[in-house]
Amino acid sequence: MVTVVVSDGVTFTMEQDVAFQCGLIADFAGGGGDQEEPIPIQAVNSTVMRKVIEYCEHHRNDPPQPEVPEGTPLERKDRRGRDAWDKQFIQVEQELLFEIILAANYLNIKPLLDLGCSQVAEMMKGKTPAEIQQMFNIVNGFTADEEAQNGEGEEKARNLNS
Amino acid sequence: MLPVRSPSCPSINTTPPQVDPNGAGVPLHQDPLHTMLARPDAFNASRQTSPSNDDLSSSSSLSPHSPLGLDVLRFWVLYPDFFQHHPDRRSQLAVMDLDVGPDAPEIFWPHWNTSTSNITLSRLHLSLPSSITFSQQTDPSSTDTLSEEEHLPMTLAIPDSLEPSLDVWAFDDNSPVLSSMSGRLTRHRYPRDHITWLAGATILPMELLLDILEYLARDVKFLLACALTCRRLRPLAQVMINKFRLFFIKINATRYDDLDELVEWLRPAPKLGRSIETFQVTGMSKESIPVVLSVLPIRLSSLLISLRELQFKHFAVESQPHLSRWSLYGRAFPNLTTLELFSIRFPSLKDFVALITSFPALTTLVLTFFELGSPLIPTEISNLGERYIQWFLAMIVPHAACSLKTMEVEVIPTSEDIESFAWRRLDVVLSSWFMVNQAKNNSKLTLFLDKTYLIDNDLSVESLFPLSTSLGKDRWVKFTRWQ
Repeated sequence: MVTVVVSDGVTFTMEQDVAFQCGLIADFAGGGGDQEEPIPIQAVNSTVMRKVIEYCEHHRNDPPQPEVPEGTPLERKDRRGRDAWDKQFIQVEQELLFEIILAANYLNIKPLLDLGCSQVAEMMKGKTPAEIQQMFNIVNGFTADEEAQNGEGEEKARNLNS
Repeated sequence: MLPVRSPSCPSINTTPPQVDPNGAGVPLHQDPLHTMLARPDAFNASRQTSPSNDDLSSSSSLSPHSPLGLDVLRFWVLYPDFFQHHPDRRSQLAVMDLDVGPDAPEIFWPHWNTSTSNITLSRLHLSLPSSITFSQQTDPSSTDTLSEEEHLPMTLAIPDSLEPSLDVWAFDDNSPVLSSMSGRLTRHRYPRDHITWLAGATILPMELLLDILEYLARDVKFLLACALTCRRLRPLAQVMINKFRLFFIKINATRYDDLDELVEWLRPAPKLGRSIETFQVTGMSKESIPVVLSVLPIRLSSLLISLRELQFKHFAVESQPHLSRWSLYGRAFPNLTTLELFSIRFPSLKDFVALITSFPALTTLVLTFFELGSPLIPTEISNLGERYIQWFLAMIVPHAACSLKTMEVEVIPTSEDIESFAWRRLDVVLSSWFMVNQAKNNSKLTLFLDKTYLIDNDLSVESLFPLSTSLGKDRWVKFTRWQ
């Protein structure tokens, strides 16, 4: 068994095959034996950790993922693919989704990272710049000159329509 | 309008407070921004003697009477302590819009004489004190306020170890005029309407953003949208565009607006437009087809100057009168080498000839589900004999100077079609075309037939086109015959 303690002090105990899907925990535990001391996971809170464990438990019996050549576009990597459970699992609020991605990145869980990133990509797909800005609450940050340049192009396009 | 005016604006007291020299008795902060806002004349004077203040631009536009023409200041606030104390709240960041316009009940900085002047400040660096005290105000008209648990302390001490991470954005109408500030700030009790929790893409590391973009790396519209979204996404989108050398663009033009949208995206990115070699239009509705096809060459000719391949997919282009205007397309895209058409009907041979001769560089023509109109065959010719072929050649040969080398025809004929006169005409046309090109240069004719259909009908392509040769593809049987 492996025990971790997350940022808000909550401890989680899980079986090794679940815990070792997290590369960080596997490295920390050294690959063998039960850990007596809880492993501190300060970058993840309990809410996110529960989701991470839920994912790892569901995929605990999955075969190892094949190595993907460096430079392969992610859209082609399909490390694990998405099943119906994954699709349901990743249907979470946007805030939680980003935190899952950050946690997966921190804990080194590649399939979960891919799942989260692909979900964000799905959410961004087909969106206009304004919609993406609204969706992610992004201020464009262009300088006045850049903004004018963008606006000029758009203005010309609008004039062409009229 | 982007700015949302807050019915109640906060006043901020800094520690230690300083008294406005103008005598208002209001705490005044002595950082550059405060100085500029409260006493722009003094700010200008100090800047003139301080060449290191390079981050402040357009200071010459400042005047004591019109320091800024802003309506709203937007603060992106990092508040790590809140995250520690409230683990259930999954966000560390908040956006705070402060109404600073002339009608604001209480402006952010006292004695800020707002006016309608337009000043563009490209960047400011703001150094806030190590702690900030807010005098809380509540909006009596708003019932959507933070719960007690979400209340933040009145005074926040920011740890020294924390990297300054305050971004301040200001908006004049919809245009950001302050791009960024670095500093420290906290948030305070504020109606939820005016606080948008930010757990967005901006908190993701750059490499993760890149990972996300890679999933849609071949979606040009998406990348263009990203490039116009914000400064942070723009270089990433450019990286993706360069990385995958996107030369293909596809538009699903269910509405005329879709084409407009595409033009708006391409206009600011002329380099990208020039790199696109293949353009595909698909999924048009009956309503949008006439308009889109009519204006497409006009709208896109100057944007897609390197276009080599034009594809119309999955919508019938038959009986669209503007399609006879091939010369317009030919002039718009003179470098076009490949043209794909779906479900097209040539009412007459002239239409077909007009097509192949309109594009000076056209080498490949792909026709899917195409039909030859009855006027093709003169009524006086009732069989498929030598006279007919000669007649056909007589029509084609004068235009044999066209550059077409390959014609691909994808057909799934019905059994009636096979035996019909129309299908036989197709055979004749193809044969004739073959003969024309045989006399001209090395050309090939490629024909796709549905293998399933042939099997079901106990037919062989050889029986239909004796000169064909099977290349043995899985679903499609591809026959090529060379001269």
